[in-house]
Amino acid sequence: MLRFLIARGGGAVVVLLAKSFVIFLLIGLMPGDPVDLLMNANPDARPEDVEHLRAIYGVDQPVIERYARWLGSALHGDFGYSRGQHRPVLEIVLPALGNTILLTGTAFVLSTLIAVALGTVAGIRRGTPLDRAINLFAYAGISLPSFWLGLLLIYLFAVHLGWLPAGGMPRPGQAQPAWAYLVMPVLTLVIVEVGGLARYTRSAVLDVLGQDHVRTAHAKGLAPMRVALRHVLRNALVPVVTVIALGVGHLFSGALLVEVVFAYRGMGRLTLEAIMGNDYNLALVCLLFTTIMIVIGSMLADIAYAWLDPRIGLEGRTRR
Amino acid sequence: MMKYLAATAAVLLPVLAGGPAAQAAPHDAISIGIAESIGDMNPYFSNALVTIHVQAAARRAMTGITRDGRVYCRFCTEVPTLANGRARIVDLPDGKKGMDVRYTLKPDLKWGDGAPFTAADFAFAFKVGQSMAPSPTIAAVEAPNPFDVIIHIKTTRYDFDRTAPVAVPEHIEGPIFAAAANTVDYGNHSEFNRHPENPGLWNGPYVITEYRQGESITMAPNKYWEGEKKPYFQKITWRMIENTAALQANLLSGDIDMAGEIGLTVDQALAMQKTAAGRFDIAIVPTLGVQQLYVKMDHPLLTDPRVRKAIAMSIDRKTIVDRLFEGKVPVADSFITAGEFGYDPKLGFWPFDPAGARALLAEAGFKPGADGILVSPSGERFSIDVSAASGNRLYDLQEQVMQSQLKAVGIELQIKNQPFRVLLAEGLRMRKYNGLALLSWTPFPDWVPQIRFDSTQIPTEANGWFGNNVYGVADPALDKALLGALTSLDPAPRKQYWNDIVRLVKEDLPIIPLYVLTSQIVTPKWMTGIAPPPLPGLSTGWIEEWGVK
Repeated sequence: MLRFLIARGGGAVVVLLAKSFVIFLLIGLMPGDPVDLLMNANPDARPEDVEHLRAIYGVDQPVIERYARWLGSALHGDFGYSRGQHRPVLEIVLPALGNTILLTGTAFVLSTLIAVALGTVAGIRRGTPLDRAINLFAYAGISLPSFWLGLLLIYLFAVHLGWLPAGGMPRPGQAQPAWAYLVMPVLTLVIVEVGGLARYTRSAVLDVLGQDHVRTAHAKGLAPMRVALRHVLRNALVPVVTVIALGVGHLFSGALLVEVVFAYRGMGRLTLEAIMGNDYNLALVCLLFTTIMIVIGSMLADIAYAWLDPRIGLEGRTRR
Repeated sequence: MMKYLAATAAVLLPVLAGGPAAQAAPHDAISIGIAESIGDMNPYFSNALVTIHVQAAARRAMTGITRDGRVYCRFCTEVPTLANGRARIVDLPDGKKGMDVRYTLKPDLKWGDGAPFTAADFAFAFKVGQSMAPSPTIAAVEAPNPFDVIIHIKTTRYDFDRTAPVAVPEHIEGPIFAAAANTVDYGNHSEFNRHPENPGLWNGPYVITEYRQGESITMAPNKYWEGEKKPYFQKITWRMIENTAALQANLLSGDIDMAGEIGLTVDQALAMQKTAAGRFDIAIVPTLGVQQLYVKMDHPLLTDPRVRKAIAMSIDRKTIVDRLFEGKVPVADSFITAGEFGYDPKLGFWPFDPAGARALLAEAGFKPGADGILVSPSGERFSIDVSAASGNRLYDLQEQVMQSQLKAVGIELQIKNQPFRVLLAEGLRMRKYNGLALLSWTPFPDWVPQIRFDSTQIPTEANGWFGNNVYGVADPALDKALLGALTSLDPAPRKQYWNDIVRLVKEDLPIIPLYVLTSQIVTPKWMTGIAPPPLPGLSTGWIEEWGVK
């Protein structure tokens, strides 16, 4: 395990370095720099003022030099200031990351549990009305755009019924409890996410159902529930975990459309604002956090494989 | 994405808007939705309209402009004029004429923390501004004593009475500015960004009591506000809801009480007038802003003034307004609006006349090609682009209407919208837009557009792409009129200069005006006192007049 963690950790550092450079380069290549936006707001500025500000912001230097300077500071824990907000980047990113983890984490856990349960039931009850109902729900979820579903829920639960707040973040002293602000965004994400994963689980379950060891388990007279949980689901979960692990990265990049519709302050909105506002440091740190989480998600998936199927070692070699 | 959201809202609204009435609001507090997020709180680093809109409740300038365009004193005792001796023309060392303008502050002015608000705060504000971009207008700001502020202006200017910088509290920001390595370092440590809830930063009717970045701003009355009218609402919460469809839903659900100028789009307000007029007062009010087409005058196909005129005559602006805004938005016939000092109602604009446009194009040597699109005398197909900021459904619709109208006279218009930052940096500033660009411009009252139309303001590679004359208009007569309107102090010749400006812009056609921009203000039925100002975003400049019926 230690060897695995060291090897993957080393690889992750290389990925992060490469990605930070690519992001820095790409943002630098985008038209417009921070001073363009600033000067657009100040029609009295003269060419020499523009040059003066470019020098202060450091955008008059080659990208490589700017990257090297940024990396040097970052390695000392200084991620710099946001150009757009003039506050330390971590002060802005960490609360948004917390909000995102709360929103997408809750949605992720719920959607995974529901999808795996529905997919398993649909696979075991293949061809029954229950299977068809689950499939219908899954297809509906897959085909609903999240922003449309979000607006529909707002109009239904906030405007028409008045049960839930239409959006925003929980704050002390509000009439509605904090959890009420999470209900609709989480519900939107769950409905949209469940469909794909449930279909994937159903397919994996169907594959496993046809295998010899399942027939043997039934022949031995094991209870159907025991066969379903211990022999079918456990084996079916190996490919499903890959899909779930990929979703971990999305967890931390935020759910942009849902955050916009529900005025939720998460990583999605923050990253978009940073990129559109040419806020180098902020965009860079937002995207790097997403990368870190994807790397961690991938490592967790590898560990989960080994746990679910001991034949798969942590180093990826199949044991005989 | 936004167009789908707006379209979805448009579909859902008529069905569901008749939901339950909003919960009874505690009427000593009000919650206001704004459709943009506020980033930088330091006024010297951000003059985004949303920041100005919100901060106008807490931060006031030396003078203000009334709704009919007159300058009045907020913190001063008397508006400077040549007649009262507070403004005087002076000889400058270089032999030119300049002006000295003296304001005297009212006694006992205080910041929100009770600290004295003095002339030094204006001089300090000027120093902060200079560190960023030295003023081309003001040479120096002096504070010879705590009450007098003297502005030294580099030229004679018609707008000398509104040149005082907006004060910055030196007792708070002074030490931070002094310790900062440079302007950006000051911005990073400015109390405006670190602790905007510090009451000493504010001198308006309200102070900020809570700031949640990207979420909300809460305000309470400033107990040191010197104005005669004290604010009614004891708590104001600004909620940032960037998606206007969601903002509308928040209004209907009662989660917010009102949406000011940084809120709903015109089409949403029109829809709400039909479905929610029983619960809200929904005002759609013309402003000084104009939606316009920027014309790249040195584009090979557009250099001939007859061609530009033909394009202007091919666009049916009334149809655009009728179809998109149900005719409730005024058609614009200049880059300034009716009622402005320089506006000339007799001048008008080129009428919609497709036959006349075709004749002009034929006269300029354009002939129909095999596919019906005109071909220039040099053999070039008449195909140009129109660019606007992407993601705006109304822009898309306007472009589509113009595309079809120009096709009718043989001009192919391709829609090439771009993210705003790309359009700004490359399309406009580097003048890479290929023909036309769809943008809006909102001036202050009687604002002389020298930086827009003067020939020295054309961005070029040689000048580092500096300047706002992205159209490329270079007309000596226009330059002369602009300078005259800016420096003349006598209203009669100024009026003549202004008439020349408006006429020359109509003839040169660096822009084609489309329609007058409006402010949409949605307020609850129980609210009173809000009157839309001519400048969008500045209704909060009179927030102390807001109350309940």
